[in-house]
Amino acid sequence: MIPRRAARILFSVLLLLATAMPAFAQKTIDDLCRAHGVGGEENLRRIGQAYVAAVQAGIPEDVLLPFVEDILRHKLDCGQMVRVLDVTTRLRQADLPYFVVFSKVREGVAKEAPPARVVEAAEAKFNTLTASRDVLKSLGSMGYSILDRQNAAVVVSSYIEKGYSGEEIVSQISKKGIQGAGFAALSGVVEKPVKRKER
Amino acid sequence: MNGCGKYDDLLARHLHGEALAPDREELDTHLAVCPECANLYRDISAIDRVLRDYPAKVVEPPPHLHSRIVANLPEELPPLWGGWGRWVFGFGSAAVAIVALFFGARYLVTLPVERVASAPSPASTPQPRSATGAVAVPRSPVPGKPPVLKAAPGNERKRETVVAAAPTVQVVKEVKIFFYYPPAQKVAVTGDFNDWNPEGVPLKAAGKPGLWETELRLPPGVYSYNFIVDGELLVPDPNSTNQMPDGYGGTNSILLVKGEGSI
Repeated sequence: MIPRRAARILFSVLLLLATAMPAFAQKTIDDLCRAHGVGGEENLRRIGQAYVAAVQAGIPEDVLLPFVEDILRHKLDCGQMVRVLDVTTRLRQADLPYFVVFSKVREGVAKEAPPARVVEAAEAKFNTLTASRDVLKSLGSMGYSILDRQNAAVVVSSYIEKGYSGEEIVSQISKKGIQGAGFAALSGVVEKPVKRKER
Repeated sequence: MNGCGKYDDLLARHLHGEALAPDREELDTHLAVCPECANLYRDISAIDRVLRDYPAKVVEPPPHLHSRIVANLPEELPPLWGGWGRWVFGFGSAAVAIVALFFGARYLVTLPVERVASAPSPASTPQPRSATGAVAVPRSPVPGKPPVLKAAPGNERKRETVVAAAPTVQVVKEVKIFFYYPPAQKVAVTGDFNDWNPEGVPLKAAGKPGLWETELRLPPGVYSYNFIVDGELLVPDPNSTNQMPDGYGGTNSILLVKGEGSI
């Protein structure tokens, strides 16, 4: 049996380490920003805050840090970085596929798009993904099973980007089914359970 | 081919059987007077025929296979392994190990000398309590888009594969991508499926001059992509009628990988 004193020490160590986590994350991002020439304590504080929020939302640092490094290389300024990190965090908190924003940003980097445009594209992606959540909710209430929620959100958001509204997608599917309505990409990720015949 | 640009779209629609009669007439008139476009038309038609005759043997999975696999999947791991949980567990394990080592060391220090000197066999040596804290924690897969999975040697002809990578099972499909561009020395494809990696997935010569091909293995979904020609130019797929503005002033081709058996 662990003596009471040992338990107290263990608890203290755990508490200390848990409270130290944001400090570790903050230091990591500070070092990275400084290495890329981001100056100003206020800038570092804001970026650090956004980064720690993303980590606390559940985005693994081994995914987040290389992404931040990519956008630092692409010369996004402090405000732009905070905006990108913010939409990423909000997607993670909503259990939506935040990595789509990573991909969209990296697309902009690959195409050498101006930083302002990259941020706009990331925010546009956030908006379509958020709208896709309502579509999936409606499909769920219509009896569809969402087999792969993250991928389904990506597919629905791409239809929204193509010009369909959320209501239109739901109404077309309710009338004609997924295949009939021409939303074939949804067929692997959303499924209508087959009703068993009553004997 | 100055001034022929406006016929590109018409040509593409004609090849897909989507051109209206007046458009076809206009195109025919142009082809009669423009040898370059006429050659291009002939070449693309030939490629089109080759592609249509390409022996695509699709192995259809039995109905409801997908549903059955999904229904038999183990439940997802609790979120202990992600985010805060991973930190707390990692630090917790470390802390337990430290505390156990501390008490273990104290225990060893307070042992009577003759007990230590008796040197029991390694099998009967009491294990330090830290062993319980040193459990190797398997890391859960990083959430993110599934990576591009290249076909394993000898496995290229399969049209659908179930890749079991605990704890998820993912149905992936093999998708052949062709690109016709005779001036290119090197072609690669990049897109959502590889996080827009600037290197891309290289295409190899497909046998006919100027024709490039590669195979991607992707889960069902929608993917934006572009071709990288000679390491620089990002161009949409001219053979794809499914294209979308990319939000950066350019165009992405859209690759649709359907679920439920067909590409």
